[in-house]
Amino acid sequence: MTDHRDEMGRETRGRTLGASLRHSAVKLAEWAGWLDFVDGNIVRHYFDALRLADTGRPLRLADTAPPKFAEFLLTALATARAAEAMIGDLNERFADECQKFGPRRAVRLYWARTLRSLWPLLMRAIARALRRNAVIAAVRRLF
Amino acid sequence: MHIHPELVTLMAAELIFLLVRSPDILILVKSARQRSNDEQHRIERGLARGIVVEALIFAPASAFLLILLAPFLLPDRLINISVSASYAALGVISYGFPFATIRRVVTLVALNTLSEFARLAPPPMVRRLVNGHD
Repeated sequence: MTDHRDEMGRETRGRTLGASLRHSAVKLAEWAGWLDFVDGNIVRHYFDALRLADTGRPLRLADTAPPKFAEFLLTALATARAAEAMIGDLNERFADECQKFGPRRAVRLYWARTLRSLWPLLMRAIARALRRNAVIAAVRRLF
Repeated sequence: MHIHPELVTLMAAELIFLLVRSPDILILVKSARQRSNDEQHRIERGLARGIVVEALIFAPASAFLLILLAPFLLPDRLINISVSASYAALGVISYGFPFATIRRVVTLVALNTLSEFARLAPPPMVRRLVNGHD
């Protein structure tokens, strides 16, 4: 059952307009970079507290796992050894950035790096497929 | 050369933005080695995003809002002297109001909320929020 309590343990069902405005102000200020002089940990813990109040569950290990689909794309397009090395490197950075910036930004950075690697991988996969087709066509012409 | 007065407002708003935020822009163009710890911390906390969002969204939106209100704000006597100058002044003012005013109010509210949270949330609770246990 959902626990309708906020970060101070107060009942949040029917959260007041004032409280909602204050939460929105923090979100807007954080997004717009107006809180760049504030310790990032305080802001992160504040958002975690809001999340706890809204969902009734704390941040779990699953929330700080790297995105599975990005890993799948890398595995599908790169050779086994390259994919393993890339995913290992990305996961290491992800763990670092989770500590430093929080899981949401770490996931965004993970996707950015994956997408940057995907373009050359995709080109290579297409070139491989075209080469294979050319070989098959040549064999068919011969026989 | 005739420049559309609304464009003059927008340019004036962007120029005043450049002047006001030049110290922050300077931090952005420095290399990581040249930055102090505080400056590096601000970069990691989203200074670049803040500058871009301000230049592309907030400053133009604020200028546009004042352009819409221009008929009420600019008296005919002022426009008769120079249209470009009047609209440029509107652009300069638009950076201060509504944008900078809203930014100040929102930042103040956000800081109060965060400081209240930091004061009231006991350390074990913060640990629990992060780890899922004490």
